[in-house]
Amino acid sequence: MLITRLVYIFMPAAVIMAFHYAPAAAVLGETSRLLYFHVPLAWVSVMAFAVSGAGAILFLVDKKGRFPRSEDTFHNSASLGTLFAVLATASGSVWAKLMWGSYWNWDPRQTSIVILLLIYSAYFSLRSALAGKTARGRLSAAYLIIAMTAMPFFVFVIPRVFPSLHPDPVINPDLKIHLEAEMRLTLIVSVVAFSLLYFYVLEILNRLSRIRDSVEGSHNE
Amino acid sequence: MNKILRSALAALVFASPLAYTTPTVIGVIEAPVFAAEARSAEPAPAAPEGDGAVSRVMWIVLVVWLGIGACLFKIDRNIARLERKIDER
Repeated sequence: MLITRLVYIFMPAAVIMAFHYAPAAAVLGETSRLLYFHVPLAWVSVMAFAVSGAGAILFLVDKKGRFPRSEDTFHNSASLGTLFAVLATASGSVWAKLMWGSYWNWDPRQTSIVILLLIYSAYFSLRSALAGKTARGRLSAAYLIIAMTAMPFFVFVIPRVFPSLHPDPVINPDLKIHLEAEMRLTLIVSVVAFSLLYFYVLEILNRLSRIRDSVEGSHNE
Repeated sequence: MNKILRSALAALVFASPLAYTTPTVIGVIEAPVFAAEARSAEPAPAAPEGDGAVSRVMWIVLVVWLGIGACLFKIDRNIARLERKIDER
């Protein structure tokens, strides 16, 4: 998809806007610029986990082989989702150090993301332990669907149920983004840039998987 | 193509020190920053070295992104070449 190449324009634009166009927030000061990296990383990780779950459903439902690359898509998307979740956790941890005084506080938000990361780490262990392409595909797809079902609880529900130091998420119960116009625009550009990056890398990984399969196929013949 | 990428990366790395001496490299779009600070109820805590520190961090992030972008671009091209070879077989 050529549209994903727009990441080469959007990402530098997002970086420049984050540091020079968006104003510093009133209380958070210059540290508020982390918002334009932390929130998009978290958003992309949720999107990647959702895509991996949807790909897994497609893989299990598709009996006629209409979506031959769905297994690669769900596996690669889960890998990228985990990577982005780790990056979101790291950026959040740096922000916690600046705002709360320590990198890790076992805040409900931090605890829930750790559990989510453990769930997806278990997926990789499960997949690598399974022998046989068919069994591996089916079992890992079933596991990812269960993981996708659990994901919204850890991301959206638990941090709202327990008292947390984490500020209101950008998408809050009011369904409004409580940011100044410049900050909102920067955040949107940043979210688009990181989403494009995700789709671009996913496309590259899927193409690599296809090449690997065709090389392995030609060796087996 | 790799030479062009390496030259672009080198140019950006060498250009980054300019951010230390000229903190308002992108001064044209800096006006909203001051406007927003004027609007805020509480004054935002200033960066340790003023706006120069923000520019410096921006250049570092841009250089990191250029490295990642160049890597992705190279991988993309190599994959396209491999795909062509596989299709020809």
